Amino acid sequence: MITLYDYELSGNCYKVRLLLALLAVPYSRHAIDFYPGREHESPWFLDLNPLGQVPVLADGDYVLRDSQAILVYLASRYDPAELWYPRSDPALLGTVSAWLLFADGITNTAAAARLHDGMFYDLDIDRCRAGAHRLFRVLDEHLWFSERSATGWICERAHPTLADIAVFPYVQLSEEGGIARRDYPAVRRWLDRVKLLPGFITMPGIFPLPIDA
Amino acid sequence: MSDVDDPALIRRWFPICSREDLQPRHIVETELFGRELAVWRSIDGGVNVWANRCPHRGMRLTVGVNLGQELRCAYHGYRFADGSGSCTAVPAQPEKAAPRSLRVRAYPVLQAGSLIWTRLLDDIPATAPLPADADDSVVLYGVAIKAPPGDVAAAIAHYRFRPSGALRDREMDDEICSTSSVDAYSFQSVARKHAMTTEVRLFIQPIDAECTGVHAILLGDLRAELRIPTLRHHAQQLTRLRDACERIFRMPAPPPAHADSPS
Repeated sequence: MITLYDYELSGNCYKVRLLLALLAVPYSRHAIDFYPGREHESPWFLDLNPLGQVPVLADGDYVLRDSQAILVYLASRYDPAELWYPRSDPALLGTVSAWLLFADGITNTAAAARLHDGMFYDLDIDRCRAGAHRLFRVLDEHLWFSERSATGWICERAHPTLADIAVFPYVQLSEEGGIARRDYPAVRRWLDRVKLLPGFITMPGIFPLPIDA
Repeated sequence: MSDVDDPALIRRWFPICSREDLQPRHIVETELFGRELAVWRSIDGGVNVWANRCPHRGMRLTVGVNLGQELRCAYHGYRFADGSGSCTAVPAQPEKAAPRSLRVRAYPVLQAGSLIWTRLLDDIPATAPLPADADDSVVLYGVAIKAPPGDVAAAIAHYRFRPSGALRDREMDDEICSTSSVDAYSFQSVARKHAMTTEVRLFIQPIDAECTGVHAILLGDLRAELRIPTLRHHAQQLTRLRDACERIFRMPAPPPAHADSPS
């Protein structure tokens, strides 16, 4: 049985919940009181993840930290059709990896700005926001071309990949860190596409896009 | 919010997005002179340029949902009709008739040259600053530049569109390109090589006092195999222009020169 050590308001926890939902894999949630309880800094949690970060995934005896790594593990283990993480195509695998690292860049900028604004972290907010805008520009131009030369997903593939799942949450939550998306129209269209995936789930701050409501 | 007093500017049509940006069920978010706009296309094809404020409690409509023929506010679910912007439903009062007099502020809409245009005041007729054959055009990548419209307009002559040069050997390139202003907010860039002429039109969207949109279209059509390389060449040139504008705008003004200063 899978246990996800989880915080409801974390975009990195949410991306794991989102993939589990899209793959229809059952799991149980162990809620961590991240804010204001700082349970991720408690001795028992540091035994689980010495970095003191959520999420952590336990699948039987196997324990894994870091949301991007967890996505890779879950897709490799529970998506035998390789829809989300195509392991047999070296070039595509390289590209997906580059975007998983891009998602870490989004965490260090857009998600950090949200921690500053919402949970009072002492961070250089101007630097966080400027860094996020720089990444959003790269993403916007990339997606504009993807709409024309490919399928509109981050990687040139008919089916979305882990890249889309990994990048989505903190882009969609960016306004909670004071980062407007007005100047990224291709990013805004892509956010809609992700929301329309069958099996899409929400979290606080991420609204559904009910197509037949 | 920047304020516009110039009677010519408030009546001038400005592009705010491309036709292709208006995907089904999508709502485009942008601004013109600091006025926040929500732009959406209905399933019947009607294009709406609305103030991005729900007239009920002021929520941004871009957070809401494009239902196809109505736009629904995310806050209390008020719905507003394609075309008129009139309220059609208040979910909390299902037994009552919708207050039709409650309306979203709707701006005028013009579709021309693959772009969507609007203006602040619609009292006298005016046309978009476009050549007549612009409806047959290819939408190029557009950018938002963190610099005032005047600075962008001054820098736009440095935009160099040489598509055949980009497709072949750059060093041997003998394609001639010139970018010139049609008026203060629109520009043409013509590339010539032998008998081949390619023309790009660039248009400025004054987003707010600190930010400027640049929209671009290529007149005519592109052969399929040239399409993506040409689009890439333009995007490269335009993002370079953006980065140059932003470097210049961020630089502090030089100190005034004094006769006694060492030089």
